[in-house]
Amino acid sequence: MPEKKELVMLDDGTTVLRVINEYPKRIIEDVLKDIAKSAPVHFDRAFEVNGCFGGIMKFNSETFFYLKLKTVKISSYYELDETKSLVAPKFLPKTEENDKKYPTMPAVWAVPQSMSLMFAARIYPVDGIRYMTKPSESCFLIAYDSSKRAYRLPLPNLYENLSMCMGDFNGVDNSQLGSFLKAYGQFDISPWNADLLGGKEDSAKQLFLFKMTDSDVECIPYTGDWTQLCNKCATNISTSLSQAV
Amino acid sequence: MNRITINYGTESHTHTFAGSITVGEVLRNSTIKAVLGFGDNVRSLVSGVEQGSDAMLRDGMVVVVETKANSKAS
Repeated sequence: MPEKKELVMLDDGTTVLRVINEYPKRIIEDVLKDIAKSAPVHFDRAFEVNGCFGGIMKFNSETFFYLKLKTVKISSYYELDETKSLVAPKFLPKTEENDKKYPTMPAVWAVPQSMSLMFAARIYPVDGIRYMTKPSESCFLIAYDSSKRAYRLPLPNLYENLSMCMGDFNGVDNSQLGSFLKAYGQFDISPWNADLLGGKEDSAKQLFLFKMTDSDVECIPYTGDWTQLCNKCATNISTSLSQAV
Repeated sequence: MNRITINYGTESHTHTFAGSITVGEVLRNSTIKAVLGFGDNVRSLVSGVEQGSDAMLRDGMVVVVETKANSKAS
């Protein structure tokens, strides 16, 4: 469109040259695009990882991938109880002294039947081609009860708003799913330390309990009211993702 | 009388206050905290906008309470 020029005399008597550029705007299409951008989208059971189903949810113009976990690998120091037959994780910083004092292992904890545990990651576009999951404020671990109320497990490396401290990792990939799987891989292999535990050691010892056998470590399923050992939480993200429970 | 609805996650509670009420008073109200189960580390939003504790609430308003992130020191 050609440029329009006009001379305008202002209230104070000065004259200015005003240059106007007009562009056609397809209002209806643009409005529909904006609505589609912000409309919530949910695909449950869109993929499977190690026998767990995952899905995709879009809300507030952001894309989240999630995985409904049946187990969680808890790599940390462990401590024997008084009976010397049960072990529970001992969340401590990694030091040479702790290495000598406590055994380390990746025990596999089974999610209680009455809990829905979700690992979720917010996926960002990087450069129009690739996607990424950022190490901070992007990954979430959310426990839901049967009424879809959200809780924070008594684990370290987990902020009160349910976001996870993931450490450094490269979450960039050519696909959104690839980026999510990189984040989940980091979650699965990373050791847990003492950061952000916030006085939840006793609750952790009750919820994450294992039995030593001759050849292995077996999870003792928690049958009590696990919500009593967790902090109730609510964020926009946990509430939106509760639709997938 | 001011009837204020407070949402915390999937739960909701409507509370009636005799006089004027601020966001801070809602967040400190022990009855509301006990019913909905939130602690001190929270923020409040009205129509998606975060509110200061001095913000006044009017009859019929809906307040969304959310858990805030804590720092690594805690």
